[in-house]
Amino acid sequence: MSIANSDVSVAEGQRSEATGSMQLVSFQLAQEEYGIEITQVQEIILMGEITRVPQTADYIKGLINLRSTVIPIVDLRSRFGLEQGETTEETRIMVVNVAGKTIGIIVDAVSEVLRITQDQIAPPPPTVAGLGQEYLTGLVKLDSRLLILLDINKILGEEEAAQIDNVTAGL
Amino acid sequence: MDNSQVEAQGDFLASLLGDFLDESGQLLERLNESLLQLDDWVRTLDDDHQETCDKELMNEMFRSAHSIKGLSGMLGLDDINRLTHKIENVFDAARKNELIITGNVVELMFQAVDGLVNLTDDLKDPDSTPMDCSDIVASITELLESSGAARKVSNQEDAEAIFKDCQSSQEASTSEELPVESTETENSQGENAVNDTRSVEQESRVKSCVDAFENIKDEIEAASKYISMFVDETELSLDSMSETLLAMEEGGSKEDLKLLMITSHRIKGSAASIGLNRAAKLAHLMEDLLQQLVEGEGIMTPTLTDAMLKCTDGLRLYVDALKRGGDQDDQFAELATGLLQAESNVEILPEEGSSLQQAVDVEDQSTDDVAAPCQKENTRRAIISDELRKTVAATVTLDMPTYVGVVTFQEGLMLSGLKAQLLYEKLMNLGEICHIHPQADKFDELDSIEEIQFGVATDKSLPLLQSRLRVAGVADVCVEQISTDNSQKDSSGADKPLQKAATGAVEQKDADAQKAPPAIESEAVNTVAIPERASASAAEDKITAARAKSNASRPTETVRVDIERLDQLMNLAGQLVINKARFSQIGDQLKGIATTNQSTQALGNAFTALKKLSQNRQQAETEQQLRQEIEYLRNQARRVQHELEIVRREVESMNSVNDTVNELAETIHQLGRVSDGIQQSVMDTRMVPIGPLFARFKRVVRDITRSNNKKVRLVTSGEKTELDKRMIDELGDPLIHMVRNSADHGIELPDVREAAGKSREGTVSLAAFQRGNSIIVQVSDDGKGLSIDGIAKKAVEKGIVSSADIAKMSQHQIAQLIWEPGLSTAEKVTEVSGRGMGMDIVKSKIEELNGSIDLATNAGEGTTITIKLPLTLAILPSLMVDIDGDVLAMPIESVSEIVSVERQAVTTLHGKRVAKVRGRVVSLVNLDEIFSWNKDPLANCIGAGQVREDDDSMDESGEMTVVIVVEDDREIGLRVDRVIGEEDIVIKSMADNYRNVTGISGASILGDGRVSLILDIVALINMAAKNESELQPA
Repeated sequence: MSIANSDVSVAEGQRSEATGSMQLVSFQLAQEEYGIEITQVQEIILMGEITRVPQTADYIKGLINLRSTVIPIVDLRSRFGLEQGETTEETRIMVVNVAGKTIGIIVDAVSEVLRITQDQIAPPPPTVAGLGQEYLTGLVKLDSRLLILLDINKILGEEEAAQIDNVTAGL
Repeated sequence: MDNSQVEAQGDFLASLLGDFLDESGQLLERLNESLLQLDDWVRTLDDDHQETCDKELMNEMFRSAHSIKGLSGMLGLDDINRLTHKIENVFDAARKNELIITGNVVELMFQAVDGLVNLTDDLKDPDSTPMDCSDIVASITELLESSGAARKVSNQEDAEAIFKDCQSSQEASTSEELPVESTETENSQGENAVNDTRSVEQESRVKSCVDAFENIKDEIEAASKYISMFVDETELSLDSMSETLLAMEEGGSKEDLKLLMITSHRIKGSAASIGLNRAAKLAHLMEDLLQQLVEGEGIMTPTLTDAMLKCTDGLRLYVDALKRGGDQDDQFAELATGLLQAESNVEILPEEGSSLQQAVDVEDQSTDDVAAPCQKENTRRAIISDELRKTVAATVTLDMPTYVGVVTFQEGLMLSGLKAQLLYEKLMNLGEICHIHPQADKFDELDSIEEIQFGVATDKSLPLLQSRLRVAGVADVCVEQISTDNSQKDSSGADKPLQKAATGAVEQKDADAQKAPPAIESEAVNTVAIPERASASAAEDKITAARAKSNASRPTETVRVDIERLDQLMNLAGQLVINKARFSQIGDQLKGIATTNQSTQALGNAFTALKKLSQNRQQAETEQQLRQEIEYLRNQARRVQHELEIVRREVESMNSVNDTVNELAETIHQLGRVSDGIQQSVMDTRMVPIGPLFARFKRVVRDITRSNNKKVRLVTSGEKTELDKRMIDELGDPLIHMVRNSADHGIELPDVREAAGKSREGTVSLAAFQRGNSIIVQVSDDGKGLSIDGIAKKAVEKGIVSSADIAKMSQHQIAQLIWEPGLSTAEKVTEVSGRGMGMDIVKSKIEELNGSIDLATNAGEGTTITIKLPLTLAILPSLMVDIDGDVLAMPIESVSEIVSVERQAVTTLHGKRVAKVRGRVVSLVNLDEIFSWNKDPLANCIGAGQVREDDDSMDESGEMTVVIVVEDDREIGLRVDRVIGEEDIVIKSMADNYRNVTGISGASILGDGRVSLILDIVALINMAAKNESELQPA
């Protein structure tokens, strides 16, 4: 968990905003590489025991205890409709802050912290296979690879709407 | 000023605002209460409004309004200031009998107070749009004008003008400097045992003086809890003052001065409010001085700073003394002198400076003047004429002693009209005035008044009367009792110096008796005769002694704490509880591990066996060849023996580890006790009585009865029942809704009630009490009750339930449908009820607090709503169970029993599985049936893949464990795999980071750090019931 040194990173992130650059935490998910703005990442933790919760969307894996706070865990694979993955040594929970709430998202692996500039970000293509357009803010072109920039704010927000259907259908 | 200073000041102002909200909240509450009293009074009146209203009440309301006005003015809250000013005017007029209090006036005042409440609420929320109160202000102005009181009010408002008038008529030997006049009045006020309850505003000085005198009243029984509040507050204020003062030595700004002024104002206000007049006086003096500086663009001179610092030190000593509950022998008089001396050195802008100097000169002169009053011409003697005696004697009634008196003013006294008004009010406060000359309403019109003749019926003593009337500017007072036989004529006034000395002496005695310290003040500007001064200081000594006695009981010390901090503490206590649980688990585990009895025994056995073996070998020795072999074996055996010996010793030491483990268990047990204690204490700090919340409903009921012509009485009980602060806050809205419903819809019109054989007046009662681990809050009325049929009809109409379901439901069950969204039985929506939250919101609010709500109604007899709340929001005693590998908690309150059900006892009824438990039928519920779990959970999720094929999930013996849970008289049997035990769990909100989930009331953290869900039993039963109706064949 060497990556999430938030104090330093946030400070750097703020400084760099002026120059139009930003810092990303990149992670792996089903052979793709994604990036989230570092300011939203609180910490990265190992997978632990997750308590399942009924009456929730299937990508809500349940709840964990993060230092006496109960936070929900989102399985990003199911969120994006990707096939189920195995939990491996590399699997991590990224604890992110979204709209005043703290949630954990399960990713296959966390890779690195990157600094990119605004001109490295390209608008998302009209369709990306298996991934809802709404979560995408853009594509980041790096030397040898492509990074999908995620809008993490939509991850739980959408769930809420889905949940209402779920409840009414379920009862 | 650098940034940090600005910031600090911002913080300070924010804290001032906080204080203002706090204080104004209390004042508004008091206003509301007084208004309710007034309202009651108005209603008891017939059309004949001649009766005068309760002066005390008027005065009290006036003071409340006035205090808010002062505070808001200080903070620049113009809207509030304007409105309170108007309210103040109304009560001012009312107590002067210039305005007749009618129902309409009370109504208007209620509106105004509501407006104020809204305005202060707006302050708490910076984003809110400020409310417009100009309507209310306008209607009050109209009211005042129509009653003719406006004249007076406008005069007051235009005090500057009054002052100028007075000045022009009294030009000789008066100063042009307002503040000096004020200070002078100030001091004389102190000399005359005036309780200074006024607050100082940036308004006209004259007005503030008038107000101060208007508020004269002694209130000296300060409860120790107020004293401790005062001590806390004042200590803070003093700290901030000294800090600012010290900072200003390096050059201060006007903001600093203002800050100082506000702080001293605050000290003054809190001191005066609990009757610590001396401290108030000093603070007042400081404030006045600072205000001069602020207004006069003056600066702090080192001497002044010194004097100020000395004053703060003096106040600090005084506060310390208060805290100790001991003697407070203050040096306020000296301090005040120092302050005033320093003041005269203040550098003020040239023209003002000179006038001030002049003023000081005048003051000195006047001091000299009065020092020898007998020789001066400006003292007039007060002589009671026989004519006056006769006039007053004619009015004498038997029930109270009547006094006749004459007060003369000093010659050339400024504002004699106002002085006369002041004296008139003092008299009114003291007793019933039966004669006054000149007439009170003429005071303003007369250019100068030389003397006032009066007759007053009062039970107060003669010396008290005399001392009260001796205010600044009064040259002589002569009072005597009218006795029916006229034999006992007082010779007062005949020999003045003697009379004065006597007055001084009795004053002293009087103060001693009443423990009411006259705030005798600064000797520097003493305006009364020398003999009195001597006796006054003697009186002062007595007073401090008397006060020390009255305060001998030490006040409890308190600390004001931000509720956020308490929340945090609560959270930590919760974590401690979790950790304690974890410790107990570890202890139990260790106990299991450390049990080595068996191995000790086993080793012992082996030891013996080997011993036997080696012995046998020895006996079996026959051949020489084997001898060596046997010897070798024997050695081996000895060696093993030796080894085993070591093992045994080690195992034995393990046994002592066992002892340590037991010790650990004991320590854990103690830790548990301590953590429980901490948790309990933290919880207790958050507990507040429900009384104040109940008090709010008097107003609610009143409003309703006014609008719907019903007669409703509110009865409350259990005001002392304590609930968590947060809970009280959250409970307000739902309760208001329910009380409104009861008073508006529940209670019938008086005629209808009479026809039904009930008393014309309906009763709504609010009760709170503790039952077991819950707090019960009940709202009940003796009205018409709810129409069960009506609810049933509506519920079917709205599609909440089917008519088939209704047929199966009990009356009580149907009544609970009222909580369903969209169902309201009100035939017409009135102004009061029918707006705000619906019953469904009420219910969800209560459920948010982990409470439950129940409604019982009897047609024609009334309705009772029972709210059951947990004692605390944070800790829940629960039963922990294992269902399909999930560890779940259910509130122990809901669990009625745990039973083992045999396969034979399970039958099917209407397609539903039920079990016979001790003769009654309980429907069995599998959590899987009502909860929709996500499929294919990750491998390491709790309970993954453990869902059983066999629904009955009997264990080998063909039995299953069922936990029977009850809520609202409905029960279900929940099939569980294993009962883990009872545990106090800490409730964690799921909505904080996620959202609420149906059927789950929250989450909790187990001893091993895992999260467990808390079952929401009410929702569970509802879900089961819904499931049931869906499963039912049509």
